[in-house]
Amino acid sequence: MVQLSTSDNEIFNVDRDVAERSVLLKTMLDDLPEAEENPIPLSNVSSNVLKKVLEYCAHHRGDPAPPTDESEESRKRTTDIGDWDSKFINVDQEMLFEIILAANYLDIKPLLDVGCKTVANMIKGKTPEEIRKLFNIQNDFTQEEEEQIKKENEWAEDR
Amino acid sequence: MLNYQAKDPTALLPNELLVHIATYLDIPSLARLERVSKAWNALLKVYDNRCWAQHVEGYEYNKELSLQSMKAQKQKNSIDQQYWQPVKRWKDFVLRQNALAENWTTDYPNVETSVVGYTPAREIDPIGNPAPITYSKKTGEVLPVIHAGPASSYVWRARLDPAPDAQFIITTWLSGGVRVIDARPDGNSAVLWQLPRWSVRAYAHLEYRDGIACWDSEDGIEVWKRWKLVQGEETAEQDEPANKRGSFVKVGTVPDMPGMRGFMLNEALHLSVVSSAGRSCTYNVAAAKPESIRNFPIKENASWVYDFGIRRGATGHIEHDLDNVVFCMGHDGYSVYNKETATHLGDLRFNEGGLLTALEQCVSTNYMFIDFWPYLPKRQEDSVFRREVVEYFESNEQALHKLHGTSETDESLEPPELLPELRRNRKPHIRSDEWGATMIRQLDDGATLIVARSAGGRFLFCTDLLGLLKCIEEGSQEMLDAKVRECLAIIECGGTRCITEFRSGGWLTVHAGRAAWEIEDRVYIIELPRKRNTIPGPNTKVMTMNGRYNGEIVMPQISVPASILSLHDDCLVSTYLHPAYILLEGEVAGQARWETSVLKSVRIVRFAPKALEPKVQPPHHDPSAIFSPDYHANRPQLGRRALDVHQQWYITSRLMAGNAIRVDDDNAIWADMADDEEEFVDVDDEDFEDVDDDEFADLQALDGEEGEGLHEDEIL
Repeated sequence: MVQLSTSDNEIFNVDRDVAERSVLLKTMLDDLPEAEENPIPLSNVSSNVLKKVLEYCAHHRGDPAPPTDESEESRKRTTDIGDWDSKFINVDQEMLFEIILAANYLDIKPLLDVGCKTVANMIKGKTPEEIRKLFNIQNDFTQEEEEQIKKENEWAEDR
Repeated sequence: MLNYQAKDPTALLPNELLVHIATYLDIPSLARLERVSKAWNALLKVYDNRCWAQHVEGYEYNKELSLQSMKAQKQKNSIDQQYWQPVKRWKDFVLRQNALAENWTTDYPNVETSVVGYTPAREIDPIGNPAPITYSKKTGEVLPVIHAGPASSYVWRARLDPAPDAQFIITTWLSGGVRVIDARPDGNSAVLWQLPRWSVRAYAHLEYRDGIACWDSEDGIEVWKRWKLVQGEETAEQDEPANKRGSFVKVGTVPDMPGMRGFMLNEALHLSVVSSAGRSCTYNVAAAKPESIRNFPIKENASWVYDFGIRRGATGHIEHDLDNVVFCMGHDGYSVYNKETATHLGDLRFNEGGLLTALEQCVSTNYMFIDFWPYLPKRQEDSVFRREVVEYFESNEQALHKLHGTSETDESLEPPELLPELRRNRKPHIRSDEWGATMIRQLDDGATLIVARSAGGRFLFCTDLLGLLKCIEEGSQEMLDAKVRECLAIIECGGTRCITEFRSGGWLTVHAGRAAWEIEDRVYIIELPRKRNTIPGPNTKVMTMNGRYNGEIVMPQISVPASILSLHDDCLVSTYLHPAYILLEGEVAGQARWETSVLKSVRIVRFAPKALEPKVQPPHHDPSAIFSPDYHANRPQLGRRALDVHQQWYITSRLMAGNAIRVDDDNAIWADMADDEEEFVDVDDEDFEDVDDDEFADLQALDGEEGEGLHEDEIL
């Protein structure tokens, strides 16, 4: 068992193989044997987010280690998400971004992918105005600037 | 923890994660995202290689390729160099690549067309002979005269070299000679280099690839190389004319072969020759040098000479890659040989045997039908569809019902009346079809792709030629049926009519994963499958475009495709016979004098220049419109009447034979025969209504006697 301490000082008791889904934790546990005795402080992750993240890790505890090869970056990206994962990631936007940040911090690549794919799917098919609304983004282009880009991208946007 | 109150969550993610998200986006989403905010815009620019480059076709396999090298590669194969010029980042590259690819597959491509070699006005006739002018006896008006024109205005074969240092079209001519013509959009069709008529025979066939040109002569096949390849860099401003862009140097002659029927230069720069006596040789012409080689030494170069001893009947169409040679056998399909061992690998025969049986069983799954407008039920919007129509070849009522998916008792969907024109032009059954041009290509996975076209308007391709041949030779009928089902497809092209001869030249060409072929006045382009044992899915698009040039040239109804067709990365090249006005000097009775001449020029349909422009909405197209009187009323007319395709072909053949054609007051068309008699060409539409094949042949063969009373001499 491994103990994890969150930013709001909650302690989670986690099986080691669940914790080791996180490359960060796995490295810590491998390098520092005493880490198993004291709670590991995760000052960037709150308890409600960690709870979600651990839920993911527990479900995927048996998965083979993800490939770490370079070719991953270059192959055609698919935005397909598995059934369980898409149910899991069906959370409000705040939680979604928290999960992405936590997955990045804890170095859980498959979870990071699921999170980023979900955001990408939210962006897909939306107009710039809809995207702004979705994420509360301020439009800092002048009308002329925006028209200019629109004209440049006319062929690509109008698919 | 995020302070999330009404904040942009994306602003709180590190760039690395935003890029990670962007790598999952498709091209339209990336383009829209660029317009969301300055931050996103800048991010996608900075991480251009990660966000955009992944959408470049072939990028993942060529990771080490830089943007500059990809751009240079594109420019090398493009007639429109400037299309790629503004590429400064991967985004530009991706957009241009995709826009161009899409323009090739859309129903209504946005293209620019130019005719190269069309010489306007008087320059057409170098001797300066004035064309005969005819006046109407009734009104005294000048009548249009179409004359055959000097034979030098007929291009015979033409090949485009789009490379940046070339950008020319090399041509042979009906009356002899070779001309290299500037193909640059601003090149004004200037003749860059030429050989006189007496030095190159009339109707010389031309093969050209990568700076090597081959054409037939009395002695055999002459091999010429670009000056540049032989003598190093060429420059535009040189005193020595031989040093200019487009100049060629003779490097040797492949010896004549008794009964030579055809020759072909393949991608490896090997020249294969086939004779009607059943012989074939292959020569490595790339190795030829001007100093040492007068004739190719067959014995010394023995590894490049093969004697296949193919059976008699080879028609002259020949195709080969590094491993195999395919000979066209006409009605007997194709014969395939291995080059290394000269062994016969098998025959593709469509007129008998197991292959025909297999083909007849897969009509509903492996056939596509295009341009069968008269057969199309109204509800069928698509131009491509499949039906169980084995018997449609017979053009009977039953077949029409099959085609429509209606039963004979179903009154709700009555098959349209077959026009007499169509009754006259039945498509031959596959078993009696004659096969012509063929090409083979290696697919990415090593399989051999073969494409072929027939006189009956069929386009065939097979994505595992060697596997199929093995099945034909060794397998059971069941195995063959299964193999045909998975690797062979036939596209039946209706055309405006179905003709049964290679009257339009029967060209077929393959380049960069696309095939193009012409049937009558239509050009068809399809994206070929890239893997072994694949056939086009139900949504595969076959692009068709009008084969005629309808630009500045008059009387498009008698301009017909002929002679050559070739595909490049961003253009389609073909030759066209078309009439053109020639204005004569001076006026008669206040009227401009003009004559009409028939020319054969090279047409370049360029897909790049307008690819990035917003899509053009195609004009409303009602397939059945061709059968309404309005359609014909609105067509470009010669005088008042649109010409029947039979008439077009007739006029064309007369012009090719050197007879003058004229049009009289009543828009009747006359051919001026050599024996001083005129032949009446035009036939009233009513006369065409119910003629059958034989009657039509009679009409075509009308001689002077039957045209009695039509002999008044109007030609001054």
